Amino acid sequence: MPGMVHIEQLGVAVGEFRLRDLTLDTAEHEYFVVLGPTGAGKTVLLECIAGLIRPDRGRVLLGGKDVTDLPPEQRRVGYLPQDYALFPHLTVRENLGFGLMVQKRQSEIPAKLEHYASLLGIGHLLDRLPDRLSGGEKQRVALGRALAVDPGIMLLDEPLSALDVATRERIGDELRRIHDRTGITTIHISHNFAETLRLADRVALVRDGQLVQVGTPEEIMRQPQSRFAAEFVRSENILAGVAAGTRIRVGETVLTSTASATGPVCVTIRPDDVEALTTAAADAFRATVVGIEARGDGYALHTQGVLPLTAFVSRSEYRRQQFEPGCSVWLRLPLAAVNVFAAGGDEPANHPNGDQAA
Amino acid sequence: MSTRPRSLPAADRMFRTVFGGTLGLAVLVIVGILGGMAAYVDWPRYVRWAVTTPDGHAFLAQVWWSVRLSFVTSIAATFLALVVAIPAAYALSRFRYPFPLVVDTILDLPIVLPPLVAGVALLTVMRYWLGPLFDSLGIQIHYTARGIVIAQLFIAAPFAVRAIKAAFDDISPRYEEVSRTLGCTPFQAFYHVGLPLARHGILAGTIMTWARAVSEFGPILIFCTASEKTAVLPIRVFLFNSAGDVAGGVVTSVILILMAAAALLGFKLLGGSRLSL
Repeated sequence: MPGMVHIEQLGVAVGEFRLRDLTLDTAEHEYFVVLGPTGAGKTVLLECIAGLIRPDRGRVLLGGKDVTDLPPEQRRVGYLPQDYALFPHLTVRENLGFGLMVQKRQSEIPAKLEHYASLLGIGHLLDRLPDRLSGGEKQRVALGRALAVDPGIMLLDEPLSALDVATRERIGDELRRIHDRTGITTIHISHNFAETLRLADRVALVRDGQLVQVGTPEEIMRQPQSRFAAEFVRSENILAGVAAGTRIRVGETVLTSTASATGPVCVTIRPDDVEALTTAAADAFRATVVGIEARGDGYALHTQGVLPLTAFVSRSEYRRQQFEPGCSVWLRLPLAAVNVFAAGGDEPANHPNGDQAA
Repeated sequence: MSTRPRSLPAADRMFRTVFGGTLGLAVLVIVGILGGMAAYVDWPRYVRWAVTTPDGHAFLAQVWWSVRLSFVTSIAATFLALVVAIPAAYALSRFRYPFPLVVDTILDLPIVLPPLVAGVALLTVMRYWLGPLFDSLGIQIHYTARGIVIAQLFIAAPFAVRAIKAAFDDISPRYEEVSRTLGCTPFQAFYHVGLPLARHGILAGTIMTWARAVSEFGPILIFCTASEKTAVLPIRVFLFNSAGDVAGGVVTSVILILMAAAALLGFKLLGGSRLSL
């Protein structure tokens, strides 16, 4: 399986950044996003896979082959650094053909140039120098340069972070389209969960050089398994409770979950799963709106009642129901929205009746 | 509606006057000293003398010999300095190595050493340690043009290392890293990426290294002595002055100043002023 990546007990320290016995697997043809805050060691991980950093411990296997001791040029990886690093002294054409030239595969250059210029829409840029390209154009050229040498896997280091919001979404979709066309296993580094949701087949959440959780974007978003994960994906409603089977006591309230647990737990509920109504409903909690916060595509209602909860409402819903600070609301929590995980060292310190969710 | 001319606040005016005035003074001192020296010679008369009289012809022949010797030795020294400096500077810029402070200090030593000490060191090593070896091969080093090249190289090579390291430091190692993932060996990454990207800095460093080599005096005086055979331009200035020919010394010095000015101009046009020297 040429595109499979297996990282085993990887440990390395580079300046302030380190990886601590990180183990990870990607499937062939997968678009895999490594997600985490700045300083989590994501780039170090990518550079270990590319062979630019030698790990102190552990192994890197690409396509089942142990490449830990191989130099970068023998690993068949395509690497797209955050700043693209297009060779400034070479034209776009020369940048695209560079890998084939040094690998003495000159005869392939014309066909590859035509193919990737067409796939990436950069045919009109071939004679330009990199300093005459926009951010998005640079990125496409860098991508073409990496793809032209037929890599077994692609490594993308925060490829969208230097772009403006509109370009970011368009280029993000392009990255996914190109991945789907080429089928090359891709590892993409990101600190942006929204970007991850758009692109990833699976996500590895990392923090301080350690793996926190692996799953589909939906799993990471709906079922975070630690307080860090819940906060990173902005679950916002993070409450401490005690579980007995599927029933969880949170303060004076009992919630029901689809998952079963025992003992001290954390409960997370995404604001967009909390249904806010201005009229009484039988299976809803009554609460008072204590704050309203405008967000990109709607409003967050911070409420206080038997539980301190934040609900998210769309702009149209907000206008229709006429929410305002001090008004009463009824909050309904669908069964599937209540996520539970065992309380560890990073469970919420606040009692649920405190100001936790505000 | 009348408009008042904008004037700077008093504190700003005072600040600009003091600092700008100091800058002007610094420029004036250099121009004054060099100009004052050049003004010592009655140039039209001197040129007429040099072109029309036998003594003048002899003077021109001496200066021409010195110009040629200076060019040949300094270009050879610069070439050899680059052969050493380019890989050494790359290693200094890119690799982690033990005791970096010690290595850096050792490399800078020939630059800050009193020229006399550099000459004594070269003379001692070449005469007593390596001398017998070269003698057995029938090659004489000290008191010859070869010796001049070695003396110039001893000072110019560390200078070139420093200048070229600055050029490599200016280039993100990311380019070479990317080239490695595209299939380059470390040598190919250096040749195809590092070297071409640093070319302006290397060229600027080369010019300054040459300027340094061509103006070398102290080590050459000690290692090769001041003689007709070893009279590069600075030695020629020394010989004229020692013989009481002040005008000859001034004329030769002016030639050296023009060469240095041309080198500096070339260096700045190549963007080398960004490099720390």
